[in-house]
Amino acid sequence: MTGVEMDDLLRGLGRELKDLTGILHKIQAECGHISPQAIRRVAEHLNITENELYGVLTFYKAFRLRPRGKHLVTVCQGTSCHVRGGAGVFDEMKKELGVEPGGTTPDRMFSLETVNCLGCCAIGPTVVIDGTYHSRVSIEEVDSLVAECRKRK
Amino acid sequence: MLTHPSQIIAWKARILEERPAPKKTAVVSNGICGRASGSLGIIAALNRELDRRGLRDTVGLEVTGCHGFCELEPNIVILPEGIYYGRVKPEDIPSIIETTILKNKVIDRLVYADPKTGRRYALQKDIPFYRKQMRLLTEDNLRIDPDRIEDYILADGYQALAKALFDMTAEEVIREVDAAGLRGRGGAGFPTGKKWQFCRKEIADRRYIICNADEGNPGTYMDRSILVANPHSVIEGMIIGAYAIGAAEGYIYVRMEAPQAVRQVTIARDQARKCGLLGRSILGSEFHFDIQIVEGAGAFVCGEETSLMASIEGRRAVSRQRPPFPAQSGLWGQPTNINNVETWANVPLIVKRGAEWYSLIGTPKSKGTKIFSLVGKIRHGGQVEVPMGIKLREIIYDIGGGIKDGKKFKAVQTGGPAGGFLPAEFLDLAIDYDNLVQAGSTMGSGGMIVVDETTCMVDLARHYMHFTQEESCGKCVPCRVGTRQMHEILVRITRGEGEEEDLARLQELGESIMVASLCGLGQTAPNPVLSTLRHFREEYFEHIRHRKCAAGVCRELLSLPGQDSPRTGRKTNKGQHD
Amino acid sequence: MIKLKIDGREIAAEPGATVLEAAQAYGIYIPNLCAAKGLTSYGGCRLCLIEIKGRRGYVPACCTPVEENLEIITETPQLRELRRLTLELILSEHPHACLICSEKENCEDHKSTIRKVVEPTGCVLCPENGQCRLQEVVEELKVEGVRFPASYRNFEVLREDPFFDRNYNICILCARCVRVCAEVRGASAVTVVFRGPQAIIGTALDRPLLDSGCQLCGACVDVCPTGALTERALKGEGLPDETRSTICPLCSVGCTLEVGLRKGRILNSYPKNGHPVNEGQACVKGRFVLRDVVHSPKRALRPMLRRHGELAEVSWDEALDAVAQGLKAHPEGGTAFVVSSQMTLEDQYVAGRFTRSVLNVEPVLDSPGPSPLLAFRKVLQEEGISSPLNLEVASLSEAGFILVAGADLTRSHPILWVNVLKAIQKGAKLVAWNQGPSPLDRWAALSLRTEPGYEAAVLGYLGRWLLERRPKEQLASIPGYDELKASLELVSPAGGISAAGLTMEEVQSVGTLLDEARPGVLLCGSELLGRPDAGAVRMLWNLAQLVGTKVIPLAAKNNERGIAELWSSEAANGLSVDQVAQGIGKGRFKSLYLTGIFPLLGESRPELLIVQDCYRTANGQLADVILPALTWAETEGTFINVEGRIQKFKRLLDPLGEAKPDWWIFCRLAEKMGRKDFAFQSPMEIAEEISRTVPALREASLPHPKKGRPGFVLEDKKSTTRFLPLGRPGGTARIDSDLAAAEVGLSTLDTYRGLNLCEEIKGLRRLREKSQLRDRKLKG
Repeated sequence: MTGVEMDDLLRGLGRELKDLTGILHKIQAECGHISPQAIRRVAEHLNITENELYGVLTFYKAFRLRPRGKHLVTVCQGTSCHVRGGAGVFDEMKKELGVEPGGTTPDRMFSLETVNCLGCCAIGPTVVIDGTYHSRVSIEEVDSLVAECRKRK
Repeated sequence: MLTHPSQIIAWKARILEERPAPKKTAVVSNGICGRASGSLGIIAALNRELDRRGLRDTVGLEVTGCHGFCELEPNIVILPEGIYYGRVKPEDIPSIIETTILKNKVIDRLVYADPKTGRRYALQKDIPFYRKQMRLLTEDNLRIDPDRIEDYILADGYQALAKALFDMTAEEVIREVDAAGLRGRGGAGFPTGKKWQFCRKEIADRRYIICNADEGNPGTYMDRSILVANPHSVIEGMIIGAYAIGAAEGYIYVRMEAPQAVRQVTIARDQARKCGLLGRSILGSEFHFDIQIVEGAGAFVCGEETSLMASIEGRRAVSRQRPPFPAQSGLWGQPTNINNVETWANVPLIVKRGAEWYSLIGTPKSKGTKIFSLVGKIRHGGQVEVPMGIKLREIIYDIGGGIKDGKKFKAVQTGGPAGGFLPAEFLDLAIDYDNLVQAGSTMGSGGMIVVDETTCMVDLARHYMHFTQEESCGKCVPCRVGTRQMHEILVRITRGEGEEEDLARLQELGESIMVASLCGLGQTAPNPVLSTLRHFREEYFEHIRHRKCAAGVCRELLSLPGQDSPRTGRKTNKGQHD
Repeated sequence: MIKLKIDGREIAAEPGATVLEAAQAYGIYIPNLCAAKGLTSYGGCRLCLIEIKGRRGYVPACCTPVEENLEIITETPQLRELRRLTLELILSEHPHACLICSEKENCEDHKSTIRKVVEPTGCVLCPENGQCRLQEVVEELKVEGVRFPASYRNFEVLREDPFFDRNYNICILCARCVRVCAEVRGASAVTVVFRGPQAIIGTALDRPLLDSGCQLCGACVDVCPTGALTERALKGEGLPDETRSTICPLCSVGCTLEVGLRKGRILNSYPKNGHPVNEGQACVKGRFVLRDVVHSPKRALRPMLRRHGELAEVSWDEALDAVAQGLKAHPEGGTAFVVSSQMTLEDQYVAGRFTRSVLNVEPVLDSPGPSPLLAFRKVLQEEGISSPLNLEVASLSEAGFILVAGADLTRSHPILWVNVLKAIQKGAKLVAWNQGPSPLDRWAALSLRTEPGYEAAVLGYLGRWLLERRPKEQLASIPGYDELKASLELVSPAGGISAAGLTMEEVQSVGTLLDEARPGVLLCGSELLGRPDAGAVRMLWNLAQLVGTKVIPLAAKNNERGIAELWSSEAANGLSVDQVAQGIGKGRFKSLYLTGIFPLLGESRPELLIVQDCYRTANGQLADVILPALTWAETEGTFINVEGRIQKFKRLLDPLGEAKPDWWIFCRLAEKMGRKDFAFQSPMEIAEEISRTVPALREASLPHPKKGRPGFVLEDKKSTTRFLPLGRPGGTARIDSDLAAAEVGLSTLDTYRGLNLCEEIKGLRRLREKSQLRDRKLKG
């Protein structure tokens, strides 16, 4: 995002501290992550130091400091998913993609993240790929889910 | 734009008039589980078929939120009969239209069949899963498209608000809620009326109310389901509450992991604003109130009140010492009242039908119904709304259909990471706030995670500690460092590196962390571990002394020589529960 | 007072105090690590948990406000066990081998702490050993083992910033540093980053502190209870073997500092809680550079005389004889004498007497630009107005409105800033009026930027707006009102305002704040007060009379107020340094006697050049005679700070080399020139004479503050309320304010006598360069 685009985005948004997480959500929705330039501009916009902003943004799991891969794979780590076999699915996904949670594959195709409860507890294990929910996922399905993703443009 | 309370009833009448009643309606459950199971495909197929056959004028298609029987989603309910088809596929749609809608015949294979007896139940109201429930809050889910405020009005929505604003004083509202015996549904179970009173009586020029929709307990999703299926019930409850407490601004803090909930409640809030139900001079009264919606950012600790308020203020969401409590000093130092989604949703019910009626439901100390997320190894998982006082056995077996895959009940976990386990000896426990605490667990927000013999309790304890480590805010030593020590001990045990003294260490650490931590997260984090130590001590011994994981879960143990491999012959553990 | 009981003892506590503070006031020990005086309660370490009778559970004493009739129990077996477990948890993340080693006592007897290890893995290698608060708590709770497996974060030790290291491997996350930086200094240079077990102290994107808005004030180092933040000055040398107090000479605030000495050399300096003026705070200069100021290799230690073109070491006699002869040879008025505003009051008094009565010239003050204080005073004195200038720093925190004009307080007077911040936190409004951006802008209700030279006009617009707002009856009785009204009516708004770079809204906003937020104080630097036409001073004065606020000129140097009082009885303060330099060029002065800063002499230099300084300066290289003076640290004397407080200090160490106090040099010189009335034997005697002859400085001879109350400049508390006629507007001569100093090193903020601190001390230079870079970036 260019500086001008960032300014446009920020223009209509509130300038108080309470607007902070909302602004970060918007920026991440547009850019995929929070860049150093974004940190500087938002801190200016809210009249706080970059350090204070960084302290808040790193507190939350939602905000990424680095760009993510093309496809976002999120595996639910909730207890219901866990007792229904989620741990196995998670291990299989890690193996299949070759990254740890929070990481991105070297070819920048996939980023793997975890979440503590997506709310599909009765039908877990649940995996979200690029916004699409997959429920009752079995270990065997993992590779086909990933392969399907690779095929899509 | 509504400017007078009488206009609500008039509006309902008008909607009824204007809305033609088609002969048949297919209602698709499009909540969170619905979508995850493919409801959007069902809706698309229905749209296609209805158009193709030119049936738009005679057959209705309604899209609603969660119907509750998540295990069977995507599902369709055919009105007016109430025929319930579960696990529907898009390929089934043509025959559903042909057979059921046009020819009034039931398709057996799509109808629920009792796994034990084989008996089929075509009508939703007859299905055992639903029969024992008391769906006061969730019944309307079948009839409400959350994008349409008119559906809520049809279901008598906002009449309670009109009554509260014009026929009751603020104090009377508080008294009514208090007399009804409503207790906080978020977990603490604090009497709601009293909580409102604390906030109201603080002298300040500004007060706030908050709806805590962070719902971080893994395994629970009823709050977001309410927000998806019937968001106006929460909004109405909040407006009534704000009037009672004397607040002009409210916040709904929704976890970002529930985007559908965020979307629906925002749409509902915007609609309410447009209709004059939020904003200045609500319904023509002198009461002004508006709601801001704030999205969480992935922190379980934000379910804790002081952390939640810090998050809304835009700061690091660490907890702070209480007192002062939010009712005395909350958002930006002003008196603030925080309640859970389900608590707010109960308010219109209480105002509309009266405390006397409400207090007839439930037990002497726990009134009303509670929505539980019945999940885990249960055969029929979903959202169940039952009166307080129902027996655990009824929930697990009559409603939930027992354990799936023919396994045996081992325990149910309630209260999430703050709660404990109830093994089989507690199956006859009458579920209410105090009984659960006495039994060594808590109500929590209503999670009921059922586990069977394929669940390793040591691994589960480790899972909860891992969760705590991920979600701890990091401010206080007992939680930040203490739970890490507990976690490391549990990891060692699951790897076959456990020591005899570990159980005593876990106990000592757990008890100290509970007493010394700064906030509820740390204070309750050791509960699941201590609960497993109490009820499943033999499993620990097995892991430590014999390096065995009978459930077949702890991989490092399984690869050691002399182990049974999973899914083949298993030695039954002495003292295991049926 | 609130009455409560702690462990059965009756306690009386201040309302608003915490149980911990109440207990500490009575000497009752409750272990604690994250609580600190002056910081908000945190409640993170959980060591101070106590029981309240009748209430369930435990609460932290640091977060519990005192209540009437509370009954507190601080010690039970369970609490003791709980504290021990909590402390062991803390230690599990902190290298603790030494703390629980059975050889602890023997080790202390036989092995001294090796403090220069970069990454301490135990107390014996840690610079904090022996002064570590974690160690104290371990000893108090008698922890002898840690029952938990240890974990080490394995971070790199951060050594990239000047003066102190950051080793977060031994941080216990008490967040004191974060709180002091945010709450007391307003810089928020560090924060807690991430959460849970990953939580640690850090900066945005792990930048060095210099890139994170840090001012290197050292408050975090002072407040850190472990060795996570340690100053490098103490590493490699061991702890001081004695500490003495001093008054810092590097700005006009005059902080009291404790100085650590080892074998008669300065090791380090730090502020201590409870001292007047600075209350436990300092700035980068007082905290980290004093050692290098006193022990600089550039010190001039022996008198020198130029013979055959070369400077050679001589005795004092020889040097002084040469000076005396040289001065006698020149006609009256042919000598220019430059006095340092950083000398002690005693030095300056003798210097003044010497120049006026022996040399028959007016001394020249060594500031390159106009001293705000003297400029202000001069204008008022010409009008016969005495304006009380005394101000206690602490009273700034009670202000409702503060104008800071022409100064970046965070650099020029950090301690004033600390108090202004307190006021802002209580709701006061700040207006920052500077030529460039500064850290003040973040806190200002309004930041004004106007065209240089238009200051008087801007004040005029403000004045006119206020005048029209106030009911005439209120003001008409003040003499000069009609004239003022008439002059202001000539001030044209609209077009004039935008020429000044202002908008009407800004004028109104500032005016409203001035009018409504009370009490107000106007802190003004030379940008405003140093203009040659003095129009700004007059209008500033009028503005202050209009709304009833006080004008405080921001003296830059440690004894500028002293000079102002010593010379106030004189008509004017003579020539400026610029004029002297020009005069030398024109051959007007045959001799130049420098005791302070002076621009480098070029081609045209006077026939006789005498340099009396602590350091071998560039001008000194050209001198005919070099007279080595002592720094303040090697002598005793008096400074009068910006408050008007008369502060006395004692010697820190023995004089280095053969350097002598300035006053001694003047006296001996006077004797050499035939005078008998310069027979002072000690600074005390001089102070006595000052208190006898200068009415405002009657309290100059009061004993050392430890024994008596501090003295203040005596002044008429009531000032004359009168409006001043406005001078002719004009003169857009640019004043190089401290803020807009063109290059690093020329900034007059960072000098001591002839030493340019930025050249001498790399860390300070890096800090100043960083602020200028940041300001330039922000500017455009």
